[in-house]
Amino acid sequence: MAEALTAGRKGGARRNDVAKVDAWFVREILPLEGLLNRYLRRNWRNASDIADLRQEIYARIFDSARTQFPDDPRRFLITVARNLLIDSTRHEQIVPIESIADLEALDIPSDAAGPDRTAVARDELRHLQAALEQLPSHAREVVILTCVEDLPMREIARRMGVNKSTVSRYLATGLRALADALHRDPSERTKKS
Amino acid sequence: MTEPDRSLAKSRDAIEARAADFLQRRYLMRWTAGDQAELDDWLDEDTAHRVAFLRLEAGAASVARLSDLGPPWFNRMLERWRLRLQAPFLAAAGFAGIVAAAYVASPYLLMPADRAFTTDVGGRAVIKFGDRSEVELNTDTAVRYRMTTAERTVWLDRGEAWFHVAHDAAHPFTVIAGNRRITDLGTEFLVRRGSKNLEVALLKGRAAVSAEGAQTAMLAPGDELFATPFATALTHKSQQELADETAWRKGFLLFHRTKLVDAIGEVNRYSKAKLVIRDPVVANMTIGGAFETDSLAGFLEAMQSVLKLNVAYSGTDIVLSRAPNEQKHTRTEKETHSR
Repeated sequence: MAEALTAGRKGGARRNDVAKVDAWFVREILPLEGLLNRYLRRNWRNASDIADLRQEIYARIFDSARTQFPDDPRRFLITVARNLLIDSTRHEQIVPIESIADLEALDIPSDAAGPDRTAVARDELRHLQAALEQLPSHAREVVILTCVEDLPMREIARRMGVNKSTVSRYLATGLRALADALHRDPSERTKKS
Repeated sequence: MTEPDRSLAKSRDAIEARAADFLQRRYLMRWTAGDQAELDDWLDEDTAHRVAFLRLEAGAASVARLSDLGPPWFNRMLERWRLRLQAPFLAAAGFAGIVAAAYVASPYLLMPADRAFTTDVGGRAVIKFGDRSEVELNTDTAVRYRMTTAERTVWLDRGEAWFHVAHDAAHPFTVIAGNRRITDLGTEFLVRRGSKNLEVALLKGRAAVSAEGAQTAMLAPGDELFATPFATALTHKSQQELADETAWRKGFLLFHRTKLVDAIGEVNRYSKAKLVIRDPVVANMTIGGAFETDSLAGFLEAMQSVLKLNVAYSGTDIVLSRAPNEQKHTRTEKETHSR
């Protein structure tokens, strides 16, 4: 099955390399997750759907980028999101289509001339710190021991006084929680800190 | 466009869980070619799998940048989180030749250095210092250095470098790689830093390798120290073996009855396109010979003409497999191995 897929892809000319699209996706799309979440929350009443919608939007964007990279990733992201919401709305007959806001309504500078790079880097690190603060302490510990310290599982288990399968579990849940926390709105996390 | 109903709600959680499971395994366990093949298959199965994995992977990768915060800030953070990263740990080292070494969290203990230098994948560069010491950087290597009248310190943050040190008793030359500190006593040596391990080979002179809380290892010519975060092993290498290890300085990679899976690990260090082997039979083939580090084509040609392997391009990957008439056999073999 996988082989057939690969062969099919190779045969199809003019497709972007998966690795290239991977890198593009991580660089251009993932950093916009906070924006996407905000857009979805504003336009979709059921907050528990947002993660599912986001995943579908990402998949659509990725598939589309395999054929062609959009000129303006930010605008494209919102367009795909909007189309999905409209599709889903038609399905559910809840929200009138007109109520779905455009990119402009979100008041997003399309490409701000950013502050200097070091300031941005520092902001990112603060942001990362804030995200880690939101994790349960054991998950945070495993994530740091693994991703920063690069310690092997045996040693992490020893330090934390848990067995190895627990370390695996903590890391798996920690990585998921981290990805969510990284893009959570500041307004949502105020109660925590 | 993709079909609108991917039965979103039910699958998303399962997909994320699977992605997280792959990622934790890759971090914590020995990650084999079979594991990679399993992951690749899963990623190819559905774009939803791929984006979920990329998202978690990117989050984890950003955590690695915490060490950029610098010591005071990061240490304060650790304190607040009650993380005991700096508690020395004595390895249970029972067997001969292994010296117990303390593991000390290092990245944040590094002080900012004055200058930095990096080489790209496939690159090589020589830095000559005013004291006539020299550092030669191999592919994909990052160093920072501070050369003042008071101190001579080089941080090897990544990769591999050869050092030739002009001895000066009043101003020791120190190389810091992770939590290990190599202090020269007039020498020529090679340091290679992997994601977990560190290798130091002494070619001439003497050098001391130390880690906080651990015994200091003194290296004599031909000694090679192999350090994991917990233990340090000393072996002795022949002149020939040492010459092989420094062949990259002349632009060569030398192999002697090297397993193909190890050989491509070396070759991949010099190339942005990565060689991939999915077939365990191919992984275990052995090769020997000299290959130019800047000519992937030469290596691939040898794969085709000498080992009769098939070379296929897939994205930035180059997949080595047995020739087509053996494909069928290969596939059944692979399945029995990976399940």
